[in-house]
Amino acid sequence: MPESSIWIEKHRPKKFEDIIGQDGIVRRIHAFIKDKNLPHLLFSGPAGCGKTSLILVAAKELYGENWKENVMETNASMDRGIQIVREQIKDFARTRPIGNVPFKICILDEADALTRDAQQALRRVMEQYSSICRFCLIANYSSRIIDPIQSRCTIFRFKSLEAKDLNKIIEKIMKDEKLKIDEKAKDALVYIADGDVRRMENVMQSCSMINKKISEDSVYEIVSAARPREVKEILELAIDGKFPQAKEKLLEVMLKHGLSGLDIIKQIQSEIWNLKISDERKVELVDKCGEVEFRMVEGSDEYLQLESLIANFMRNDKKS
Amino acid sequence: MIRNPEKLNEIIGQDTRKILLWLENPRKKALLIHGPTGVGKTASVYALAKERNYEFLELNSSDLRNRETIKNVIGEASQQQSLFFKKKLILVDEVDGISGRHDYGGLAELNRIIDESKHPIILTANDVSDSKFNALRKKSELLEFKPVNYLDIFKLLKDICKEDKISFDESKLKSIARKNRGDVRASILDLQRSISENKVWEEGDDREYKREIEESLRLVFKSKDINILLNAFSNVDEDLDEIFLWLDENLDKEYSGDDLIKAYDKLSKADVYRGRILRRQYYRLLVYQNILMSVGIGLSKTEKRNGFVSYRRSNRILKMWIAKNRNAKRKTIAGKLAKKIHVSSYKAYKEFYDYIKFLKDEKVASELELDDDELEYIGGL
Repeated sequence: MPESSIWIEKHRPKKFEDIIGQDGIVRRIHAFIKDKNLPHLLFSGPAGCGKTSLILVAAKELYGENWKENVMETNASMDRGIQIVREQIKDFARTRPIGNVPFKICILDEADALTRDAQQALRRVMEQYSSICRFCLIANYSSRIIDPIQSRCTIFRFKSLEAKDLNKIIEKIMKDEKLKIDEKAKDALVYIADGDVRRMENVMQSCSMINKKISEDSVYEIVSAARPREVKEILELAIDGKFPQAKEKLLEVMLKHGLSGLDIIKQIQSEIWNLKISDERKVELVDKCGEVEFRMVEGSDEYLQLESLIANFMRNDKKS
Repeated sequence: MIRNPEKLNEIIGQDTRKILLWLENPRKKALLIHGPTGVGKTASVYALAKERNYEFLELNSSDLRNRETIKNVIGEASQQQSLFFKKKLILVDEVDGISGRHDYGGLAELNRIIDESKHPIILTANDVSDSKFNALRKKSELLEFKPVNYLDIFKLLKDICKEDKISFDESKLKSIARKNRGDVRASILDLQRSISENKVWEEGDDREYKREIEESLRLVFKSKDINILLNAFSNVDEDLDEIFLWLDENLDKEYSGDDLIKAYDKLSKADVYRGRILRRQYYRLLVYQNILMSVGIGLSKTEKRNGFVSYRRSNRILKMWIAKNRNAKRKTIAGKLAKKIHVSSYKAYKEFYDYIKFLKDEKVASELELDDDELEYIGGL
């Protein structure tokens, strides 16, 4: 298979020895694979810390060249309901593995996004076909997985990669892609990655499109282009009492970038700290964010909820 | 200048004798006068009551008309004799405005009262074609009032001008009569507006046919009277989602500052109830939702508001639809990307902006097998 031109794929570890970070977890999974045995797995941890990479390495090690025949990844679908469990997943789980291997592997990325019904259905499937199919559930938060499933899995909690690990990855890619990156730019990459390797490598590839020599400035430039800045403008309009304009901008931003209410509220919440208002007011507004996020989950019109949040930014204190 | 007819024969363009015939020989207990707005339905009942000296009882859409109220107001009156030995006439105006939601049980109670009433009951309505009026239609004698011929309206306007000693231009009167499409009341109002205090013509803007929803918004945004607020949406045909959009679109045209914050808080809570109702199909929560939308928003203002503001229909849903179509490309690209990079297409969609820069790279684009439409979409970002 030709090498991918997308870096996060191209530089994904291929063997256990390639994996950087998560030492303890890697050792244990490696041991399972050597024994040609694997329990149901639940990997939890933040984005881009190697959960998917580890299970893919394990599968390749176990099945060799034609690993794809015995592995199912349910991540091409947007569907998170019970349907996917009853149809695709069950169909895969109940057929015998191909070749001389003991079991197949079903990788469920974002398992925490499965609905409760879907999880209930999954629990039965896991039990019924466990002799020929092992599941690897991947989730950001294991608490969103129902107890019966958690009890059937061996749980591994991944941590964000540390700076020294991220630096090792930078060095490796730098060599492979013949890049020039100075120390400041490396620090910048580590800073913006915040433990997320996928994000870091995407930024590196984006930077390299402009120049093989990556600078601190180019890193930040790419990052700010990828994160729409308009949210700050919306809040500033509201603070100035220009609510109608703020509201219009809000809709425009949401539609243009296809952002969900949750996306916006996350950005608002992190943007609050950069506003020119008193600290007490900031805390009040963060509290409001939480309240509105809750209402958004319970309510039916995200945009309306966001408007009610943004209205609150008008209530300005005497400048502190 | 606005004049309410004092006698039945002052009503133009309608066969009002039929009302008299029914009164003299009521084969059915109720008379249901239906027809478009402003053609004289209510006016003829008023005129009749006055002319014949009836004791007159009216219940209209500004009143709450649920089972309880209808029973209390009309039910009892329909049984008692007049205190002054006068004949009694009961008018239930705009029955099609009896809301299924707010006036719960109102129609059923009305049907019952008609059966038992000792006095004639006249009902008016714009449109009684809905199946919920089946019973009512059967019990009532139907009388249709049609849009009034513009020449009749023209003649009426001319008479008014003569009577009030206003110099007039026939063509202008005709144009007023014509453009109001059979609506006598609107025509008279237009005439009145076209004439300044010194009785000279002044061109006004064309009448924009006002929607009930706009009237309701006006009540909610302007009033602080709890009784008015409670019924603000009772004769609105739009469904609730539509009302939410109207409120949301126009709230900041009327309110500002702390009032606006408060009102949005109420609207936001109403939306929470809406979400819960949708998810759990627990319709009892509607009560809370409706009160927050009407009284909640109404009482969020510090004082009564005056001045005219024109409201606008929200085009948000349309905009969202357009954007969704545009973003469909992003979705297909995210799907292709997801397959290559072992993330869910949902995640690829969300993190889309992280990839844009190098999606434009030829090698990447060909690896993902992006089609021309998708390439064009990316190029445009």
